[in-house]
Amino acid sequence: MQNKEEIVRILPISIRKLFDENEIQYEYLQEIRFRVGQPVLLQYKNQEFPLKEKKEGKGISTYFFSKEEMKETMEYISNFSMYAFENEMRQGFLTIQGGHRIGIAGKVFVEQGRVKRITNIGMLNIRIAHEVIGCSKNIIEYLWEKDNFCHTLIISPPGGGKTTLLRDIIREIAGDRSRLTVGVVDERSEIAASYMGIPQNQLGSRCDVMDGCPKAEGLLMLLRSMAPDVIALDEIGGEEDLAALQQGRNCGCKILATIHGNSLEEIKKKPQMREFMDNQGFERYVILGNRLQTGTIREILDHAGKKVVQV
Amino acid sequence: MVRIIGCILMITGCTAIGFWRAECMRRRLQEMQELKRYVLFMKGEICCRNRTLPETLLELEKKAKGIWKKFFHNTGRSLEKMQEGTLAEIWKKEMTQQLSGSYLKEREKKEWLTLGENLGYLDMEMQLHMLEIFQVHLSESMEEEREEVKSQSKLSRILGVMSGIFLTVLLI
Repeated sequence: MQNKEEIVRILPISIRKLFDENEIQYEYLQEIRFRVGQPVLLQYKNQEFPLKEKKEGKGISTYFFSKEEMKETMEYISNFSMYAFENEMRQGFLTIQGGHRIGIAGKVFVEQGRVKRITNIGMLNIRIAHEVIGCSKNIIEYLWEKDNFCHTLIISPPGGGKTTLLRDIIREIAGDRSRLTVGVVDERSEIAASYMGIPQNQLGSRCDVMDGCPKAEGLLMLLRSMAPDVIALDEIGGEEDLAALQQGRNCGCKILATIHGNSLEEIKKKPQMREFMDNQGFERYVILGNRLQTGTIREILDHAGKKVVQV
Repeated sequence: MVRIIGCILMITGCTAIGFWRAECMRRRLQEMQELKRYVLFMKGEICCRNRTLPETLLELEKKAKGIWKKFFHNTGRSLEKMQEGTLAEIWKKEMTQQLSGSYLKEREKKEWLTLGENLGYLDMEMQLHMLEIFQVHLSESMEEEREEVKSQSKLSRILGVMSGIFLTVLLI
């Protein structure tokens, strides 16, 4: 399993052994949380539990993560070269091969009001990307009106599976059946998990990816250069993103995007989003469940907020 | 006859020791010059091309010769595998295994080890700082070595020959 190799290689050697002892099945692993001096917490099969160790004569006990292990993990994550990921780390996360996102927290140094660097990293959150091929199968038909793909917004809380769903919708519509040219702006390398410019995830044969590019700039670049039918973006929300989305719509492109949130009402409370949705809006809203129900599609709404279908 | 052969061997042996000592000094200086070149290259790869350490070391392998080539190759490959521990551990292990035949003095080897313990961690500024510190120390050592070569290599050779002659006369 490719996921396993990608994850194992960034874990400290002591934790690798414990994972084997605990018989962890990597396909069910969703999140690993490392905090110095605290238990290692795993989000596994939609449940959280601490990593255990067997000690001779002492039975089974909770394993506590050490400072040395944190340094070792950071070395593996950054390929022994933290300096090479300075810019990414300044944003508080790194994306490694396979599209797995690693959130970091620690001592932040600020210079002239901007984050200069994060040192003394004390907490890590390894979020494992899962490519679930076919997860959009049951909903894809509701994202079309006659022969036209609808402007679609996927709304989900963190960990709800929005990127996974977005990836699968892209794969569906850029495949041989729908034959749409999809331009993907993959700012955090989570959608395509590109390595040296080549997507590692399956995105369909008509997909062009701008990897590691800011959303607004990437969208405009794609519009100018690749003539997409659909533009796909993850986690929109900024003023610049919305201005670029508007330009994309004006050019006749369909928009497929995701946003953090629990409901349509909550999204509408954000002033910029409300303005954008009042003016232009989306034709479909796909609402996902929370992190304990990863990948659960709660409902699909149309532009007026009426249920298209209860999934 | 045996006495003559003995004398010749004695003089040759002592002369060889003198010449070998002078050659060691010359090679040490040469190795330090090469090391300085490697560090300069490393700085360029890290700071200008933003290459990771394994990539930098494997690129350095192409520029290096002898035991250093092997050191860069093995360290780069071990880092790539991510199975043999931390950078400091791998660096130390490879130094022990590959650089035992180096002409560098203990002081320079220690500094190279310290560089390995600190590389990779923290930001670009820190990397530059670490490499510059090493360069400064290496330049100082090279200056000392140059002086030593100038004053002692000729002396070693002459002492080798003279001590051979002296011992021969003494034994006859």
